[in-house]
Amino acid sequence: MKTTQEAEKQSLKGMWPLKMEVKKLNFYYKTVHALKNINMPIYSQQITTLIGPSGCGKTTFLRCLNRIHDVYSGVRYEGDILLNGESILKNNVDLIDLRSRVGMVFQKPTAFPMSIFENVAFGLRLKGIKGTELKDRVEKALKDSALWDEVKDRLKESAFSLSGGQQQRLCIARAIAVEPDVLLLDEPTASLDPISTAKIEDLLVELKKRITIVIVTHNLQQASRIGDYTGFMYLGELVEFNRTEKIFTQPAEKLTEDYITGRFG
Amino acid sequence: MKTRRKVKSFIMLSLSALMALYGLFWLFWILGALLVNGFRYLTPDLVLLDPTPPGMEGGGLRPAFVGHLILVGLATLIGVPVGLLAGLYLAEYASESRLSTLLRNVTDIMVSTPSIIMGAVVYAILVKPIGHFNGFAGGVSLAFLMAPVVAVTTMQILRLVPQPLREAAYALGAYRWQVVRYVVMRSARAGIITGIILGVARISGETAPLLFTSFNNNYLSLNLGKPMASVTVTVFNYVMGPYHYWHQQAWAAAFILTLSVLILSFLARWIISRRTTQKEV
Repeated sequence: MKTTQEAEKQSLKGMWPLKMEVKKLNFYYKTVHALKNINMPIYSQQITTLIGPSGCGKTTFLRCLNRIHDVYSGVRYEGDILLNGESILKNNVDLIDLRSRVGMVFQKPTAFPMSIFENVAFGLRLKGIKGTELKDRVEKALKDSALWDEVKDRLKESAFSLSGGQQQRLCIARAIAVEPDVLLLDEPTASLDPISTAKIEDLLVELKKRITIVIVTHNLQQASRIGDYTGFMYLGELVEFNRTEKIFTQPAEKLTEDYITGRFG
Repeated sequence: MKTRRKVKSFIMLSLSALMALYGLFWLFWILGALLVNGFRYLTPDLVLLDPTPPGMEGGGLRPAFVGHLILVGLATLIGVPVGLLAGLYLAEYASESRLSTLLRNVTDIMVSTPSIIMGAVVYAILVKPIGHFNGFAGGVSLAFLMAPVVAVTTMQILRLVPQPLREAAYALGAYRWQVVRYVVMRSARAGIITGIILGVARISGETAPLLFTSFNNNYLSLNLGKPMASVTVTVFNYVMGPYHYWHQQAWAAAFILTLSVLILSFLARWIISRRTTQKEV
């Protein structure tokens, strides 16, 4: 971690404004100490990718950032996570509000059992948006997620009539419709074919102009293709965090090098 | 070595096939007898006419059919909301505490409670204090049978709703009731409706609880405060009776009842199959 910190000082400071900041985060699920002392910046308008072998805690970490863990009992956080400089781990944090500012997309498409339009409108309706504004924002979200041309004539059809890749872009549209500050994606292309994957990657690169993106991926090429910053996690710890090209060309840690060169994982 | 395994496999396969045939043989014998005898005596009079005085040929079982619809309808009105909400609570809200585990187990046990016990319970609380048999008690005893069936199927169906779907709704800033109402319930809608249909089918053929509660009535009665006829109790009485034409009417009534339950089961299966073909990603 020492060398990483030095590298951080050299190459990270002051490059982009901080959107989120994770400070000495420890996370416990019942008696399991799942995340250990994680310190990590998340820069605004950048794509941060999280890599590491299965079970290393990437997803657990991602799920801390919008506190979706809190849907279940028996979770405990220590340390702090800041969003726009304010703690999201305090007791009085409004989780409903937090989650509308930090959106999430899951590994498998999670289209709701309703029409394409209603899927995208879901989060907007929760915020009380109606009428023409609702229509406009659904259309905008679908355009932003590069799905509009494919679905504009069939908005009233069931979302299940879409292909897997389209459903995943629908989920992204649904998440960005509420205009979150940060979008979290948990292996969003793991169940998709290469063409759908490429579409989603292009989409994310386009979206980062407005939204800060954190993405967990098992696909190292993907991490290097779209990432600006990359964190490598192992056994619940953040082993190394740096500019993506640094991680993939001159990793500071032996463990990182072994992982990205395919010696384990 | 290899041949021994093959012989063993052959013997076990033959045994299980034989057992299946044994079970199916009786089932089809019963259904066949019902079809042949029931269909033979089926007339429009059966559902349109009231019974004649005992011993006088003719007449029909109109009070029984009307009463049966009322009793099953009443049971559905009471049993479905109770069962649905109980299942919803057990699946979505109850924590993993001892009490809720106990509640789940009790619900499971209630599904297999002998129906006559439900009849006896309702007799004690709704017949004895009132002083005479009444249709309302009949409906309630059927509801007691139905509610756990609906609760258990609802609970199981809701648990099949993938967890990420709930999380996706939470991640958009939904409150718990919104997640349950707009996402979970909708995903499980077909399954819940199937559970309700199976619940109705389950109570449609019950006789025992009605013997103690709604009893019987030879005249058409729409009054829930008075004894009320039902197809099952009437069939039971007619089969035990001395007259040949009673037996014929009982066959025909049993045929109609079985056919209705069969249709309900097929309806449930159809809804399930439609749901599974529609949903895959």
